[in-house]
Amino acid sequence: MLKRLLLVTLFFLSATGAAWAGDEAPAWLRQLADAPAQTYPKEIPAVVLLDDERVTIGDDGKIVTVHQYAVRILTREGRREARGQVDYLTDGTKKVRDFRAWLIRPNGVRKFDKKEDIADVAVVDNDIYNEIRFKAVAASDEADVGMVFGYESVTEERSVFTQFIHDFQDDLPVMVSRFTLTMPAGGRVESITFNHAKIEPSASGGTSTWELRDLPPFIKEPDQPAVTNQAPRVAVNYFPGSAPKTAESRSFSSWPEVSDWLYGLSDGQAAPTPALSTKAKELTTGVNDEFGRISAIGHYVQGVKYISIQTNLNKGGGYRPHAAGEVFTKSYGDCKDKANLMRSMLKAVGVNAFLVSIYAGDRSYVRNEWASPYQFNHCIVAVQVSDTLNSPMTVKHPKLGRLLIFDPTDPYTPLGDLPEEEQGSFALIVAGKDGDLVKVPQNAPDANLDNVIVEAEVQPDGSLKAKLTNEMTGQVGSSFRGLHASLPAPDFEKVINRWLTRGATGLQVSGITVKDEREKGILKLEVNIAVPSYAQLMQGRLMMINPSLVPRRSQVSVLQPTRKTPIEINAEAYTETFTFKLPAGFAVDELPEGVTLESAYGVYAMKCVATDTEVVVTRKLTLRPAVIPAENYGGVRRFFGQIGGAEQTPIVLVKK
Amino acid sequence: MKRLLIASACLTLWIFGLWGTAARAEDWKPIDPAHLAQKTPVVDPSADAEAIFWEMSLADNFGGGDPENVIRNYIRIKVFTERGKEAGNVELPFYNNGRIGDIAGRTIKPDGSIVELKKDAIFDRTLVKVGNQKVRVKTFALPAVEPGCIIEYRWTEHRDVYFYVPLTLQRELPVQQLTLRVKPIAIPGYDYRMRVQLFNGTLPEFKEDGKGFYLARFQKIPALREEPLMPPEDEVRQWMLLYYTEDLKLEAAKYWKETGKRAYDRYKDRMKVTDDVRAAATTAIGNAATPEEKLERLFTFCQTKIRNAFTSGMTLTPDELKKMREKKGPSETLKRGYGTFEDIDLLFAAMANAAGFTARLAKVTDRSDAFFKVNFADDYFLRSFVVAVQVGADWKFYDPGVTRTRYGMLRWQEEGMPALIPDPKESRFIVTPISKAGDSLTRRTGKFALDEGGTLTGEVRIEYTGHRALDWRYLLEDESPAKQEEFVRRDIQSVIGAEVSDIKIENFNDSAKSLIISCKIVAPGYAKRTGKRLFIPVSIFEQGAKPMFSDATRTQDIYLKFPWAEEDNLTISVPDGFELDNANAPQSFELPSGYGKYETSLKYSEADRFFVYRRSFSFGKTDELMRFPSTAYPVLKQIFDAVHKQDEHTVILKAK
Repeated sequence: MLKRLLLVTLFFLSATGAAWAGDEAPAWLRQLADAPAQTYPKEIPAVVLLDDERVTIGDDGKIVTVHQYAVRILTREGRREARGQVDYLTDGTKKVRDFRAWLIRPNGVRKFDKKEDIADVAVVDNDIYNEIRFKAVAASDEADVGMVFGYESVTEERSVFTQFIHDFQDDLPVMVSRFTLTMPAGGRVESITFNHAKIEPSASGGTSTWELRDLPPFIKEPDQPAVTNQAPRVAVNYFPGSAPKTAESRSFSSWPEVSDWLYGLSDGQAAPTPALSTKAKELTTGVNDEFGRISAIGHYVQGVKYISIQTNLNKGGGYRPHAAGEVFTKSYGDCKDKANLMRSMLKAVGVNAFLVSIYAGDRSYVRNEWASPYQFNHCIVAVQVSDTLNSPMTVKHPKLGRLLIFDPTDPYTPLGDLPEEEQGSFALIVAGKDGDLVKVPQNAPDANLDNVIVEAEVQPDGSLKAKLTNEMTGQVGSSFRGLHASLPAPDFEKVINRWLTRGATGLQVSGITVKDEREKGILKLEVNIAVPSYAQLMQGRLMMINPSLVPRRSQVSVLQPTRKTPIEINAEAYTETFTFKLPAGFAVDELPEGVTLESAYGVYAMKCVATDTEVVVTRKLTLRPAVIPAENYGGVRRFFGQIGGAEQTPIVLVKK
Repeated sequence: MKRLLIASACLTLWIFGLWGTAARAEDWKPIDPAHLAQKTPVVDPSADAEAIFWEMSLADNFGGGDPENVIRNYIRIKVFTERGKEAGNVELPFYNNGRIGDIAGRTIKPDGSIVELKKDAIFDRTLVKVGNQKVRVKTFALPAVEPGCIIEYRWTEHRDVYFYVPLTLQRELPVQQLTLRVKPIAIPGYDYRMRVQLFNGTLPEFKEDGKGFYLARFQKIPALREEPLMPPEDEVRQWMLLYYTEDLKLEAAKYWKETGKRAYDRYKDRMKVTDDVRAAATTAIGNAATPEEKLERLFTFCQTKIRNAFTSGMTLTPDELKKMREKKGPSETLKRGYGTFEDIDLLFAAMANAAGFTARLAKVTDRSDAFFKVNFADDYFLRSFVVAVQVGADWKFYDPGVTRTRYGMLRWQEEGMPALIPDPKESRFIVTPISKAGDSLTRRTGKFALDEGGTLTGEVRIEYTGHRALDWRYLLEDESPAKQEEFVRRDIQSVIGAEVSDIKIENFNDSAKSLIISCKIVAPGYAKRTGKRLFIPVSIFEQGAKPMFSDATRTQDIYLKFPWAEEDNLTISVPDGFELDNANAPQSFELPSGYGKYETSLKYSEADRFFVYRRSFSFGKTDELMRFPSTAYPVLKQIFDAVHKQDEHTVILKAK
């Protein structure tokens, strides 16, 4: 609802188009626009001519940032790149001192600097409230191919952080991207480069500059690794040294230091209240095993509604959970609130746990080399467990012992598993000076199993009746659990219907049941299926039967003949047994040949066996997590192409 | 003395505090224990939450200043499931001069204990502010929401008085009882009265309560369920229009006559035939002889020589925009060479009048929003327009203002709707024609070669006419050539998993001609191979399409936008060493009630070793809109499943 309102309003902003000012663009932008345009592949919508961020730290700790940005529109879609924005905080710790933009058109310049030109926009996500806002200009409707859009912003802020991160690129090509830091005398900077060879800053007095030029575009292709894992970025730490140090400013030189700071912000918030303790004890009463006790509390916290209220961000508010007692009473909170509530409830029953900072969305985002809370966007929990507890999601910490990692924000992934994009990621255990970065475990492919069993009967008229049993574990199960839990029964039935109808026209389902054995991490779906004309009869003599009744939920896309970027494959396993009884009066004439395929990232086997009364088709696909270079795409295409072929080859019956 | 003052102050505070508490408690209605104990919904058994009651009170006030519309809402909701907890997240948007106040809320837990919504948990956010335009929202999350609890909240919204106030009565959750209280504004000497019109429901009796309010109660309002291919939302949801209109006491027929006369007077000057308009008409018509030829030339002139200011890629300067807003008449439109949809239609009408025709700007309903209701005596739904021209005894309709419509066709949104033809004496409604199925044709021709491994290679030409062409033109008009190719590629790949290359799009900007797309395709493994046979799905462009209707049941009516037709003419060469094995064509059949037919033929040329597959399908009638009641769903599904099943038909080749 909020997003829709926002879109409508932004539409009005772009559609109203304020006065044609006929102003001049600043020299820096004019110069960029006048430079000869480079040519790019036709699918590239725009090129960033300049992305220049200049940060100055004053003696009093005040941070002033000047940002100049210019983009040339190359295609009609590229018009949407003609937009600029700068964020600020409503608590006054970050202010926009100046913001203006220009669109350089063949017949003049359109300047955006009046209140009718600039929208003041709230961050709208899952937040009830968020103190971050944006000043934004949208010139898309006025822009066209060949035009140059640019903006300049000046912000002023006071922050507890003196760490900076500069992304040199998103997915567009970039001609010049630059980050400059000017610090007070006596200060010192350190930098780390990600996704690129080390970028050494050029230094002059107290100013250091990191710069990259002529960055090629990222081509969008299916199943590719996240851009955040490919685009170069630099992380910069500023240490005041002998320079005057403000009381609040923070830079970090080690992960325990980050842990200690985060612990200081959060630990006091985890004190259990009597009501919370009572609930924790009530949940665990009669549960005698360690896993069961943690699971009971984890499941309860998963049921607490996710609602985000973001305040005091420049003072570390983004990392400080609300008090556990408050979250318990309101029964809502964001990720850190939920993780902290779980920690508090565990504490109430004598189990020690820690908050864990992690990045949700890209398991390769967090890097060991840069100790900074800036690398995280999510908070989960690590529970101290005994050596007897058996779970793949445990890590051994040298000081804290065995830790079971769990995400109470994801309501569908049970204890013992983790959301897929968090598996294999670096995460910070927040445990004072003892805390450190750890690598979160990654499940084996067989732990994410999609097991399909179809028992069918085909009649002489080509109709089919079948019982489908689909057992899912790991992230396959969690994903389906989410689907089942988030839809009312009639809508869920429609989803099942639409999925299975893709495999057979006119398919009818009945008797849908879902059994969730959450403690075992197993979700089971059972469906009765009827298809009036499944097999194709040819002149009453031949009968053709498709051996793939149940469509795959996910498939690696290999339609394009070539590929320019790596292809990412996730760990999963699929097994299927399709057994059907032969229709009376028919015998098997031809069966698909068995297929066995093996590659570095996966194994596939299909076998088709017939007796006098039935045919049994078995398939098994196991995919190991891998990122395969584009030059090896041909092999990937063959592998999945052969699977597709093998699964569609029909069984031919002939009338006896 | 001082002690006395303090005691007095305490007493005052206590009294006021007590009074305040008492007043707040009185504001909430008593909780019925039966509602707390309630386990299942009343209106919809699958509902996750249900409003026990919703009270809405609307008062238009005129207190000497600007008239103000005050809406008080009070809603009580029973939460049944985890999903139902979402009902506790509340967003109340409001705009510009409006405001929302008096928000209060609370949660009554299943044990009867109450958790109040605290004032500091209510957030006021300005989502967007541009110049003087604002979109604001009050957001809050009710505390401690869990299945079994009751939540309730209330708020008061103040906003400007509008002539038309549409009220949505169907929420995203079912409502057991809605009590609506309405207090119209009464300004002495002002002859406007409030009227009420309910759509898609039965209007209960409004009773005056003696305090200036009129009260009505609605029972058991279900939640609105959206389904694919359903009529526009205003045609299915229950909603009410409160509107002020002159108290003319006219019957519908008289009302429309008066409205037509007023429209005639309003547009008379804006269709004025001046010398330059007459000269332009004469030049445009040239040597055209018949009335149709003349109108077609005028249509082409207006559509191609006068630029539509709202067409993609058209950017006007503020001066040009200002000129356009002046609405000076057709002469001015002609002179400046651009205009709005209305300007261009009015110019066409003026030129037609200059050429001796009788032309009017007819008002019509856009049926993508709602359908016209002749008995509703108000022009609320007549928000679109077309030009009506008398040709002989008939009125014909044209819309040259829409850049991409073909001469002789309207947009589908305006087809089959009564158009009000204004006249100083005898205004009348004439239903605009519905185009024939063959007017919106998709004609696919292809020449393919099949190799013995099953790879299909070929050249394809797809021709779109009428609404099909218009759909494509709208889809692609704002895209770069690269993106246009991408859309075409995806569309073809959605039905046939093939590499698509050499994509060409012809006649894109020439609305008078069919839109033609041609390309080459290579589909490895298209035909499935067993030891001795090849299986070829012959409806190459339909075999992989999704079924039109996959859901087993249906709640809403089914609405198909316009009649359409498809024609395929495919030549497929047979690989060496193979011959047809029991080949037959998919079954042809007539659709019930004259709705169309499905016809196929398969011819094999032994000498040339290819077979030709022809398929044609048409659906729709010209004498009625294609809105089918939900009860007709099984029949419709059966028809389209039968078509889809035939489209999956496979021809078998056997090794010689």
